[in-house]
Amino acid sequence: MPLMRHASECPVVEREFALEAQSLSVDYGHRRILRSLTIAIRPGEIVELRGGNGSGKTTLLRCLAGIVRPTLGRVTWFGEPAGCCTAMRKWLGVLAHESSLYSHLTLAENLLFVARVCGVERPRERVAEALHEIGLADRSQCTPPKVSRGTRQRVSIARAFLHGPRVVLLDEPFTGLDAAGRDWLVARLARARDEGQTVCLATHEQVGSLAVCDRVFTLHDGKFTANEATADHPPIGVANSKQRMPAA
Amino acid sequence: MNEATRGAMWRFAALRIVLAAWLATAVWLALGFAPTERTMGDAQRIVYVHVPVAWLGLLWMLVTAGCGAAYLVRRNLWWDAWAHSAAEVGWVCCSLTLVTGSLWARSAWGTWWEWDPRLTTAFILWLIYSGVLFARSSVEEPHRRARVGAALAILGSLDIPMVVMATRWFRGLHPMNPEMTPAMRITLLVGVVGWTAAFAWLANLRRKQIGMERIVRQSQSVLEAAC
Amino acid sequence: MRHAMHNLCWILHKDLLTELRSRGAWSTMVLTGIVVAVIFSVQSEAAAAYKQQTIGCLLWMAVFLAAIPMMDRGFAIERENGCWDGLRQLPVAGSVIFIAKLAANVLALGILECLLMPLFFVLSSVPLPGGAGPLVLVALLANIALASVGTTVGCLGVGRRSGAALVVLVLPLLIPVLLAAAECTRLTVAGNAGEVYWRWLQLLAVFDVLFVAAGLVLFETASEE
Repeated sequence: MPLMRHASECPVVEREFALEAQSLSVDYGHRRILRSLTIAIRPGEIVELRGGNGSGKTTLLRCLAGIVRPTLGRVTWFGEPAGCCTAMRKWLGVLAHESSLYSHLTLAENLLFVARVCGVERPRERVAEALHEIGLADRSQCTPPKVSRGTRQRVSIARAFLHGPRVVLLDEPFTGLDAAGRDWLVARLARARDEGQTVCLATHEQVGSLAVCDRVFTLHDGKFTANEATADHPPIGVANSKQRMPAA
Repeated sequence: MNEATRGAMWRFAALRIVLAAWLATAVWLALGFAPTERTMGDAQRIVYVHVPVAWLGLLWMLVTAGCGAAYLVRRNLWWDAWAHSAAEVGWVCCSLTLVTGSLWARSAWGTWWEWDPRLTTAFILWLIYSGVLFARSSVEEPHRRARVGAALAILGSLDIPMVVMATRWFRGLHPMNPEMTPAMRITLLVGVVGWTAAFAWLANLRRKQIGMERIVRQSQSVLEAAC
Repeated sequence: MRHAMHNLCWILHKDLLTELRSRGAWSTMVLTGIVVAVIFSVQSEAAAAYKQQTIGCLLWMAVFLAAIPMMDRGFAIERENGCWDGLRQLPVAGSVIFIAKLAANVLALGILECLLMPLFFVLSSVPLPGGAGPLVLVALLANIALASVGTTVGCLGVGRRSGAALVVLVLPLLIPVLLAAAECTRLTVAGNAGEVYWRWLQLLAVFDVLFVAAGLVLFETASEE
């Protein structure tokens, strides 16, 4: 029985790609949601997946997170098969489509649970810090149904970043956020970049490309229609492409 | 039509003819050849159908669980098609066991049903089959349906020995080793072999049909996506 | 291993906390049990010997009926707000989640029985000659069996549509357990917790081992998307 292996048993080897998916296909029912997608994300990159409703963004993110088992193809994290060892999940922080918050636990308790299971040192202090950062220190004892959609979204984002993961996957992080919230999130992403975290986020077409993104992939009907580098960042494969390695 | 396919078709046709002949023999043996039992009379002849289907009911449960386990290991829907058809055929066999047993009990014991260990076990087996099929029918996505079906079939097949033990400890009515003449034994043997082959053929047919259904659905969705 | 224990404790802590705060499920469970107990006991004209014979059967029927909503509840909480995905994405093995859910269910069943057993025996005034010891042993083993099947089937998510679906699937699987538990209870009440009693107890123990093992193996695949 594969009981949980300790993180030290899964040494992190520096690889060229933080996340890699090779000819990934996902069927749901008799419908093919993803059609042979290949994507490779370097450590320290911020990648945006753009696409309309039902284009397969969420499914792709869930595959990359190791939650959905692909019908064909494979996903690797730092060269290791996704989810092959439970402790590897500690490298990932995920913001799912839904909030992932327990309605009967307070905001602080929700974060505390994640911090404890991920083995964060001094979880209480870390959670207090995270709540302070998103400006909810005084509402930490509220339960999720008692706060607004935007507040829940902020807590969920804080949940994804809580244990200092190497890779962060965000599914439509801007949903429900007001202008201040959006600014905060962009700043948070910039900080993640400075700290060497790899980020992959899925957004609607309306949101528009973000200044912080290195590359934008556009998804339509389960296929990539475009793979372009944003203005400030030359495309991958060009000689002077920025290579950021994760912080030690 | 080339030589190879024609050869295969002939072989299949020959196989079917042999099967039909065998079953006809089994029926003739059961109705004409086997001697009439002294105390129970002609009603005892039900045994020649009842015993084969009862054995098949247990066998198909094991096949369902085995194919389910194989699916979980290989993740190939081919195995799931086998598990599905085995569960359906097993359900039919189990239902036939209950019906024929009940008919026999009416004439031998004077009652349609008795909570005897074997009867209870057969009834619970029938409930487990029904549960597996019911659960399968409530899930749409093929791989998810395969997983649910496999998990339940494995749990069910583990459960059956426990049911047998639990019910055996109550006093039983069901005949365990009834006295039989050699003619009766041969009739029973021919029946068991014949019905096993017939239901295996049926299961294989259903398995192919399930596979084809899946291909049709897939093509449908591809066409819909293209339009 | 220490890590797994650590995670197990925190998941159990989280589950118990959420369950204590969502009182609705508990009240349904306890009320179902009480209703059966009262209906059974109110038949005051029934002979004492008759009550002695049937109390085991009815007690376990009441526990079973009350347990059905409970089996799905642990997963109903996870289905809200996509918490299940959130939990699966954390660094916890499926087997650890299974054991935590199993432990929560065993605990809930134990609490229910602590309430129902005295109620049944006091209201129907059936004496318990051998003391409560043999009964507690039966309850412990039966709880593990009920909870292991309930947790495995509950996680298949087929109970999502209605409670009735879960009953159809779980009832046939649990017949040997309920039979053994009822028979043990009847023997205890009759005052001969001897060799036959131990045989039934062994059956329960085998069932526990078999179904916990099956649950551990199947949970990972059953809980996939």
